[in-house]
Amino acid sequence: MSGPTAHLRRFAVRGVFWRQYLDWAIINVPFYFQPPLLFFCTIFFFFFAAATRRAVVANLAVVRPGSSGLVNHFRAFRTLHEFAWAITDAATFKLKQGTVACEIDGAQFLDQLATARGAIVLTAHIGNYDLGAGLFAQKFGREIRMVRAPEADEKTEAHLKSSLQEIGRGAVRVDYATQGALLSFDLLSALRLGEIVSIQGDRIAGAVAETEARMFGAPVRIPTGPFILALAAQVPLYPLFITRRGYRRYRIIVREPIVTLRSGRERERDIEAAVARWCSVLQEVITAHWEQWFAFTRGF
Amino acid sequence: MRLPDSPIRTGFYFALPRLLTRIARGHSSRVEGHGVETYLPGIAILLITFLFFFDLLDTPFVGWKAFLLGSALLLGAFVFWLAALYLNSVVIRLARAGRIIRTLPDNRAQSVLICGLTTVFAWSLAQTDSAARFAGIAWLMAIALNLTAALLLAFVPPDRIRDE
Repeated sequence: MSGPTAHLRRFAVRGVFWRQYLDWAIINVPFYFQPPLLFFCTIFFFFFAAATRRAVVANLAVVRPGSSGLVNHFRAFRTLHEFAWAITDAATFKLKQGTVACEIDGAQFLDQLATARGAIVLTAHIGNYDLGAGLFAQKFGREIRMVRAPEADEKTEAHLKSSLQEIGRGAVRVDYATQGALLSFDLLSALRLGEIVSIQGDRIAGAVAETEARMFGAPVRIPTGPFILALAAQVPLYPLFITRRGYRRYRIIVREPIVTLRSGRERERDIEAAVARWCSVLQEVITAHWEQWFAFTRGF
Repeated sequence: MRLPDSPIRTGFYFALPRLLTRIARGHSSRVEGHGVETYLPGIAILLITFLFFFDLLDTPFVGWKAFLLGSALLLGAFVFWLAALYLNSVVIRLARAGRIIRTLPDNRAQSVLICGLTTVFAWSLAQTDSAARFAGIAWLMAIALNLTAALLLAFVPPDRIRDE
């Protein structure tokens, strides 16, 4: 698309302008002036990204039951502010070759993952998931295939994809969950060759296989792709999250791998069991880090 | 475990805390990201700018009108800095093209503008009779101490120094 409409779309909430502006700010704004800049940008997006704000408030109503709408609006502001910091840290890491301090919760599982011959990293829109793949690839010198939902705006997606590849110093390859059956075969083949595939398993985007599970006592739709893939390739799923703890400080949370075995029962039953375990882990992490759950669509 | 090894929390960006660290521990590193340095200067700059604009208006408003005006001025101070940073980035680009600036990174060049302008605002505030003059005086003192520390750091023998 070209013309004035396409030009104006750059400035939409999910437009590429804001990503480009962030890159500009990382280069031009001294680090000590970034906190006020992020605070005011959060105010701006809190009002203008109304759909996102409403989705966060709706999710918080389930995650934090008993809270008033007003309190959850403040929490939504905090969530957007955390998101601003997360993408700023990722951009700093990309553009200034910056470092982040990380501590690990579940180091034994991360070591297992680093040496695994074929594994699925099952993650969510929690904390700095974009930075996580890059850090992992850099630390362990392994390539990682990252499956994600594409951004609504094409130019934003292109910018994000290039950023992810720069963060991963070339060791992160981005695929899209919407690519369909061809991608499934490609990923299956990669897993059988011993590669690591990272998939986000907390949000349905586009026409993907899904199942109903329960979290926080409410029904929730979970994509079944990662579980079917794990079952077919007979590889474990490692729940992994990277949460922000402060200025350029992160915690990598790795939980016990979910092993999907062919039990001889119906395949759906095996998948349901794995999904239930994933939901239990996801619920635990979201409870502890609700302010960093950046699933900006209604989850329940 | 750290991924990768990080110098964060082991040094300071501004000269004054680096000098104090060198006196106390014998060495200092120049790094970004200390908690106080990350948040305090930005808040102080916005506060000085806000007070400067508020003082310029010389408004008699009280109560909710003062609150509304204050909120608008705070937003105005932020927009002012956005514009100033953008204009300065153009100046920096021109200066780089003219080879006036060669090695100074963009954000350091911006830092000179930010601190320079804030010091002008603080100087103006310090001349007033309002309580806001104390904020201006505090900023001027902080700048003076930091510049003195920078001079001292430049002349102290560089043994055991690991400036980055």
